[in-house]
Amino acid sequence: MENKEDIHTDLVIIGTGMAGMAAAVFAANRGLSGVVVGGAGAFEYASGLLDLWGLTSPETGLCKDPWQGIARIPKYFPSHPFLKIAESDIQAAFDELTQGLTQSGLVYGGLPRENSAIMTAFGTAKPTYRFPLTMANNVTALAEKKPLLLLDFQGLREFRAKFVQQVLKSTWEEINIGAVDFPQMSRRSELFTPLMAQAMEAEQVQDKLLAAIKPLIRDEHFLGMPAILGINRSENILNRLEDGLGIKIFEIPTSPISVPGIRLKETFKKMLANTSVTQMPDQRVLLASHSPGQGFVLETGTPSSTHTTRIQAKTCILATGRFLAKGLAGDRNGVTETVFNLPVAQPMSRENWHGTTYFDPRGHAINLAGLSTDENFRPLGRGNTPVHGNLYAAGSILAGQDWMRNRSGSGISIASAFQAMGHITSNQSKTSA
Amino acid sequence: MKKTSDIQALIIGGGVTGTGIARDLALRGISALVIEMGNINDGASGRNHGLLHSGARYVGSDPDSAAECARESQILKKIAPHCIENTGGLYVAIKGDDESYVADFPNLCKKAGIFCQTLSVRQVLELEPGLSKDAIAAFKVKDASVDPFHLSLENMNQAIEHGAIYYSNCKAIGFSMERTILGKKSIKKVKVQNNLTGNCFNITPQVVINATGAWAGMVTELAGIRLDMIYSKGSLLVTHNRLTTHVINRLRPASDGDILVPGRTVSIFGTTSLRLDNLDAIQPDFNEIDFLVNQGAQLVPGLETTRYIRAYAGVRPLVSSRDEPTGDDRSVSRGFYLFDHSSDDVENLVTITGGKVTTYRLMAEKTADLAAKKLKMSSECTTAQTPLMSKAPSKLIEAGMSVKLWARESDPGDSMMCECEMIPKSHFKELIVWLKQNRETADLNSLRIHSRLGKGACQGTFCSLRVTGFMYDEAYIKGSQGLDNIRFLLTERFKGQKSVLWGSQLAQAELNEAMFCSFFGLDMADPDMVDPDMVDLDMADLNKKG
Repeated sequence: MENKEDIHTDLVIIGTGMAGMAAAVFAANRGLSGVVVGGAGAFEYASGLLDLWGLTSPETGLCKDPWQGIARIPKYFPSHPFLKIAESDIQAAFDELTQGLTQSGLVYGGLPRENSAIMTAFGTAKPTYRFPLTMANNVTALAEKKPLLLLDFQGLREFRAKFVQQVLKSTWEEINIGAVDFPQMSRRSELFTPLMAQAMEAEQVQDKLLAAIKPLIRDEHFLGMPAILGINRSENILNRLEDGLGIKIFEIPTSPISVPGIRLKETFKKMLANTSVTQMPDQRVLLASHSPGQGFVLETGTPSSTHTTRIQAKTCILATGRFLAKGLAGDRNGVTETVFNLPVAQPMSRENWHGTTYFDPRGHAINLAGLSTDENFRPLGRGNTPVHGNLYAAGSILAGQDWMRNRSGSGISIASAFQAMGHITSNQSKTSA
Repeated sequence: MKKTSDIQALIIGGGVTGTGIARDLALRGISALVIEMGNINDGASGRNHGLLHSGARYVGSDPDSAAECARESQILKKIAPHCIENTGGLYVAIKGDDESYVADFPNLCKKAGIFCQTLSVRQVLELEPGLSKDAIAAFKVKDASVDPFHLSLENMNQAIEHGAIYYSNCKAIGFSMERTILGKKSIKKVKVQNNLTGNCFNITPQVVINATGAWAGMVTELAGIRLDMIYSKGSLLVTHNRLTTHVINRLRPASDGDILVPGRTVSIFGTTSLRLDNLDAIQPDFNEIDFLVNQGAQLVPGLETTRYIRAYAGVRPLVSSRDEPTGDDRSVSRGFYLFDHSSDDVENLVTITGGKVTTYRLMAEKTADLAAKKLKMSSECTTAQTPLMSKAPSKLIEAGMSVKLWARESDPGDSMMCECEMIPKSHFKELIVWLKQNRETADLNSLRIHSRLGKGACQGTFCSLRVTGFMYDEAYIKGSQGLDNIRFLLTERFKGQKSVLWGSQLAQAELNEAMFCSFFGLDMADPDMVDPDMVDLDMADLNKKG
């Protein structure tokens, strides 16, 4: 039997990735009542690093100064979302979000105005703007290149210490490897970082790991390990291990499923609990419409259940992501937007979607496809006017940007959500005035 | 192992024909060296349907070819059952197809001696529910599905076990000719270049066999002989799932987009026929892909909505007839061509080209007969009776095989490297040992060639990094080789995906790009492109802990 529930609210945010959750936090901070609805998987694919801008073009290389890179945007990306946002607002958006995360127990750090280089599980250096505190020593170690002990877990396929060691060995004199069995999982042939991180929440497991590591340390300055130091209390766990071992410890981010990404997801959940924004995770939008009288009407549910929810809201932020997150869909005839069937800016034909060389550092044309918006991130319809006065878009669904090649995923999500929220609140105060 | 200086026959080309000739000669006790400019089956041998023809396709146009196919496919089913899946084939006409061809079909089959059984529309829809409801006529034939990679690897491995040698990435770049006592010319020395190292070396074979398919004219050119080839490109699509149990043929005169071949876990649909001027870029065009999907959906509607994981194109090596130009390349004989270049005044050069996978063994037999005659060796071909079964771990290229072996062995310490194709670490280990024994490079790409690595739905996303980690652990690679390996593998895999990136496969490609570019930075991992300041950031201002 079908089971329906009705919700009336001011704001509905569709999407539970970085853009959707940032919008939800900004809305909660401003006391807006709303609902955030979407799928569940986005953060498991997130690195946990908050990028702002890392690469403008192959000629200019990876940037140390993201603002200098952003200043070069007009030349390379004439309709980039960042061109619609003041620099000070981009910074304010980052500050508001990272302060919130820090207050909820997930501390983010970084240089005031510069990128830091993080060592990845490939031994490559990734530029990022804000990183979890458990990776602070990662940045320092990569810069100083003092003797390092890399921790290797038998059966962890996503992180092999020797991979990192070999890639870095031409510039790093001493990298040693210490192999351990992960406590209570040594019989398993395959380890999964989320399960390891969950196990690490227990002090008993931390102690066992500590005892296993202790004899491996010689004269190293740093101890590096894959990102598995718990889900909810990663800094505490790091501190506890550092105290017990007397060495500076850091995490190295790995490929998905990513523990630092899951930490973000869990922390956002905490941040929004008991606020004016209600979370409705694990939901898909099944139907969406807009009428002048009712505003936005969404029917949401899960494909496997007959229970559906009807959400009615005056304002909507679309933060549904790109192809992987199903905000955009590409078929043989072109790219479409999946919730409201909004017009999508895109290459003329499918033949132009991708270049011939996969790793061409200039990226592929399809990456720039997405929603064109006005200055306040309201998607444009025909005639270059907003489709609806109260419909906004945020995050990677926006046209004119290539977050993957520019290393700017979080930056675009956080800043566009911030700008949209600014417009929503100023509109509301106008209406109520 | 024999030295290359003692080699009697040099075979140029490591496709199914070249490796088949190597096997044939090796079984006769004639020493052979195969040089291949890329890797096994890089040319048309690895870029076809994998269809073991019953012969029915040629009953109208070329009854002799049809009968030849029927005989050869029987032989291959006997000697290489592990490379073949006996799916059976169906010929199906749909509303609007030429009904006179439908009516003639059983008689044409009978005349050519090809088995063909009439089915009712109801029967055929019961056999294959995925077929179009617009089917109007159907016949059952003895088509089968063959894995051409497995076939070539087994050919080569068995040849190696009987003393042959194989060099990958080696290209013949020059012939030194000499005059024989009788005043005829002969190839004395073959200059060979290794494409990876750039190093050159000479080989002094007694006979040179040119088995380079579409590239045959370029090799004869080295001996000053002109051979006009027609380059006919055919494009094919690979689906994520297997769509039918039988080979499905459109019952109409041979045309574009009319064969769907199941191959273990996938189906392959094609093909097209487009004339190329050169062999520089052999890729499917986007309009070919769209055309194929539309054509295919008429026959099997699921082809419209299914997920495609790859598309590729091969070049049919057709020899242009000396007298008249031809319109449709399909009317050029699909039979094979064996040239004894004595008639061109070069005593010890033989060219074999044309043909199809189904008849490769026969082509190899005829070529080996000619080569043996030139070597003045009396010998008999045994390839039709000898099982094509080597001791090499090439079973790992069979989809689904790996998991069976893994379950049987089930070592608890063994971990899964590739989840799409279920390949555990131990299998890669075994493969690397074998590659090293056979002096092949043990890198990610050769593991791909000799296993199912990177061939599943994810096309290399997770397996590439896991296998690279494993290769570092085992010290098979060092320094930043792993990054180069991953970059090379993903670049190669991308070429075959580019034209089918829509739907789920587009989402998969996005995940790949996010991981390997945004996160791991492989698009900028070339040290020349990375700002040297980047990793020397001043950390003094770093936010303090706590």
